[in-house]
Amino acid sequence: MIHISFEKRIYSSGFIRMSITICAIIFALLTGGVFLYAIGVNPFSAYFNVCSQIFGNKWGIEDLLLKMSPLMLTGISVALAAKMRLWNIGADGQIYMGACAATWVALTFGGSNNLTLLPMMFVAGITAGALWIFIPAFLKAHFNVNDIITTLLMNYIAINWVDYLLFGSWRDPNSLNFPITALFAPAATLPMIKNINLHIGFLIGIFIILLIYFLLSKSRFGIYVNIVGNNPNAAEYSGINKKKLIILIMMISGAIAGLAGVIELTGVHHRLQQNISLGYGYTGIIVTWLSRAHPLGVIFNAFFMALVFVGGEIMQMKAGLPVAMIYLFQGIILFSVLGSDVFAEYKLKIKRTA
Amino acid sequence: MPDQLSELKYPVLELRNITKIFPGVVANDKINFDCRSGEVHTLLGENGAGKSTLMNVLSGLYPPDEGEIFLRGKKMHFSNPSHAINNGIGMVHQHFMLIQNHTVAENIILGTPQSFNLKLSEISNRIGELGEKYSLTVDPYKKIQDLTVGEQQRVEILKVLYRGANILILDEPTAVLTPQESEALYKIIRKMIKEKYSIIFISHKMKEVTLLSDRITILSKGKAIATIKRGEASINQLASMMMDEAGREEDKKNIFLESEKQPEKSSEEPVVKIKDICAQDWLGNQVLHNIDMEIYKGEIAGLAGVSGNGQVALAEVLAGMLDFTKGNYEFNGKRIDRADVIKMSKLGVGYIPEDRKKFGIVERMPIAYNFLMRDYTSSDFYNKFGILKTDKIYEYTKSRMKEFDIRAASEKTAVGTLSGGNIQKMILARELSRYLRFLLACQPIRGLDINASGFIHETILKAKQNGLAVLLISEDIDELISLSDRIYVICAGKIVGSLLKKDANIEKIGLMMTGVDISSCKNPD
Repeated sequence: MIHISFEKRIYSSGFIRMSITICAIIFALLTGGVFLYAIGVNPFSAYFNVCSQIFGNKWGIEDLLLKMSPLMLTGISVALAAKMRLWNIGADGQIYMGACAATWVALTFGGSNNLTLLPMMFVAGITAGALWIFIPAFLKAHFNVNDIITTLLMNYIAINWVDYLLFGSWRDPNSLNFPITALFAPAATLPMIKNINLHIGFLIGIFIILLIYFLLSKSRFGIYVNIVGNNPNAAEYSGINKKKLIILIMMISGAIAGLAGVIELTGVHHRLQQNISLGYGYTGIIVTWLSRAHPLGVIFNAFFMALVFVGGEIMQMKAGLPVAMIYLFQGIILFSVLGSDVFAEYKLKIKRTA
Repeated sequence: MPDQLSELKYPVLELRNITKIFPGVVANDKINFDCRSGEVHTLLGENGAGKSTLMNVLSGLYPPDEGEIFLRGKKMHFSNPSHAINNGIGMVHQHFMLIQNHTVAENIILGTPQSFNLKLSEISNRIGELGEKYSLTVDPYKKIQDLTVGEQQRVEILKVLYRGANILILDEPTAVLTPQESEALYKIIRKMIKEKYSIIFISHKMKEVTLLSDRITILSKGKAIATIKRGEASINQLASMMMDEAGREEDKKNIFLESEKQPEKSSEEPVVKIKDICAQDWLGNQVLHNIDMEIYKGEIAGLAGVSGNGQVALAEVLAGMLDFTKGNYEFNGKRIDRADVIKMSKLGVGYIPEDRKKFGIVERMPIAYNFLMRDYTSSDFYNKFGILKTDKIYEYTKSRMKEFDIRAASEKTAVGTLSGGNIQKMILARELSRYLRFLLACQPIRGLDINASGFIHETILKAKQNGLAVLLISEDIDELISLSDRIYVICAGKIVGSLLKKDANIEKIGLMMTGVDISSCKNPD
C-alpha cells in the first residue's frame, strides 16, 4: 500500500518557493488548456501562436510593456501593504480616483503651459489615491475594521463616482453622447521613451519598485514595516507606533495606485472614460501573491500577468474567444499559486508499506 | 539489568529501541524505556532532549521510525491519540486542552461515545466517585473558566481516568502550580500509585523528581543515558548527568548561582520607585492594586507569584508599555506620567519579556536586525536619512554574538531558527549592550537548559555587580531565593509582602503566593 503524508519543512529556501511557483503556473496553463480544448481550440498551438505574435515583432513587445506598466504599480502597491499583513483590494478604486483628480486638473487648468500641467496632474492623482484609502486605513488602525472589506467596497464608490461625472457634467458635448470627457490639451501627455512606442510610465514603475525595495531592505522605515508585519507584539514591545505606520503604509499604497491611474490617463487614454482600469487593481493582488510580496518579484510577475492580458486579447481577435477567458486564466493562476503554498510549507512524503 | 528488575515486577509498558528522526535532527535515538504498574518513572532531560517526542510517539501522535511498543507483553501500533487512550495510555498535557466556557463534565466526556440523550447527572456522579477516590475533587457542573489552575489540572487528570487510562503521562504538571497545589498533586499521585496505576512523570524540577520517582531515566540529546532507582543519585549528580558533557565545571556543582554581595543601600535614591500604582488590562479589569515598590542600584528584587496574578501588567507598566490609572512612578528621580516605550528605553530600562518569542524578537528577521529593535535612533546604526549602516550593524552584532556566546551560523541568520537559549542570550545581549539602569527580567530561564540558564544568571549577577537595578519576575522560587536580595510576593494584583533574602524560604513564599501575608519583616528598611 502506498501511504502519502505531508511533513513540515523546517526551512523553505527562496529557490524552493520560486520553483514551486513556476510549477504552479505551468499547472495553471495546463488546466487552462483543458478549457481551451473544450471550446475547440488546440491549447498548445494557441500558446505557441500567442508567444510568437507577442515576441515576434516590436509592436507585440511594446504592447506587452504598456500593459505591464500599471500592473507593476498596482503590484507594488498591494505588495507593500501585504508586507504589513494589510490587504489593499481597492487599488482599482484608487486608480479611478487618481485619474479623476488628474482629469479635474486637466479640465480646469487646460491652458497651462507644458511644464506645470503634467506635474499638477500627478500631484492631484497621487494625493487622491492616498486620500481615497485613508478611510479604510483609519478604520483599520483605530478600530481594526477589516481592511479587505473596506478597501474593496470603496472601489464601487469610486467607479460609480466617475460614472456620475462622465454621464453628467464632465461629458464632452461633442462625444456623440458617449460617456467620455474631451481630449486633454497636448501638454497633458506623458512623454515617450526614445525610439520605442512606450510612455515613461514604464520607467516610473520600475523606479518606484526599486525605491520601495531599497527602503524596505535598507532603512529604518523598512525595519518598522518588517517588525509590525511579522510580529505586531514585538512592535508594541519596541515602541513602534503601529497605528501611525498602518495609516502611512496604506496611504503610500493608495498613492502608488493613484499614480497608476494618472499614468494610464496621460499615457494611454488622454481623456477620462469608463474602464480606464481593466481590473489592474485586482490583477495586482495576483502579482503580489505570485511574487510573495517581494518587490523585485513584482517586476517579473507583472510581466507574466501582462502576457496573460495581451495573450488573451490576441486570442480574442484571432480565435474569437470571449474576454472572460482572460479572467478565467487569472483565476486559475491565482488558485494554483495559493494551492501550491502547501508544498512550500510541507514536503510530500510517499511511503510504501507492505 | 532489565532482567534483574523484571524479577520484581512485570513491566506494563515497554518501549524498545524507539528511534524518531525529524528532518535534520535525531529526536529519539534507540531509546529503551519501561514502566511497571504502581510506579512513578520519571523522564528527566534538558529541553530538546527528546522527552516530548518520546511521549508523543507513545501517545500515538506520530509513529516511530524504528522500534517497538509492547503493552502488557503485546506488540502495539498506536496510530492516533484516541487509539492510545483506548488502550489505557492517557496524556495530561502541560498546556491544558480544555474548553473554557463548558462545564467540567462536558469537557470530560468530550470525544467519548455517548448516547444521543446525554445523561449528565449519571456522568457527574461517576466523575464525583472518581474524584473522591483520588482526592481529585472538583465540581462537575462548574465551568472551566471559573476554576483555578490547580483545579483545571485535576479535570485533565479526571479526563484520562474517566476514559479508563491506567498509564498516565504527566508533562511538567507542576510548572503552573503553587507549592501548595503541587503538594496536593504529589498526594494524588501517591494515591494512584497505591491503586496500581503507572505514572510517567516529566519534570525539570530536581527536588520533586527525587521526591516522587521510583525510577528516573535521563535523556540527553535524544539518547537515554541512564536509568536510576530511587535514592541512587543526589540532585547535583542528576543535574550533571543531564548536562551537556562540554558544560562548564562550576555549573556542575550548583544548579543555581548564589547572589554573593548584599547591596549597600545607604542613602541613595532608588532607581525605580513606584507608589500606589493601579492599572487595568485592555478589557478594563483592574489587574494591579496599589503597588508600592522600590528597587535600588546594585540590587536584585525578586517578584514571586503564580502566573497570571499581575506580574505581566506590572512589568509592562515599568517598561512603559501599559498606562497606569493611578499612582506615582519615578525613574531615577524623574516622574513618569504615561506609557512611552521609547522614552523608558532611552532612560535606561531593559526588558526581557516573559514570552520571549511572542514579544522579544521578530523570528523572520536576521539576528543583526533584531539587535536594532530597542533603539531606532542610534547614529551608530542609521545615517541622518534613516538609512541603515549595514556593515556597522553586522560588525556590532558579531561582537555581541561573541561576547554573549550566541551560537548561530551567522549574524544574518533568522532569529527564529535559533534555540531558546540562544534567543534569550540575544535578547539579553541587546538589552545589556545599551545604556542601562534597570533590567526587567521576566522568567529569564523558563524552558532553557542548564547551560543557558547558568549563563543568563551569571550575566544578570554580573550586571548587578556593575550597579544595575534588577527586577526578577519568576515562578521558580528556588531561582528567586538564590538570586534576589529581596523578594516581593504578588497575588491577585496586590503585593502581599516582601521578605529579605535571609528570611525567605519556599514554605513562607509559597504561603504568601496564596495571598496570606506572613512576612514579619514587612518593612525591612
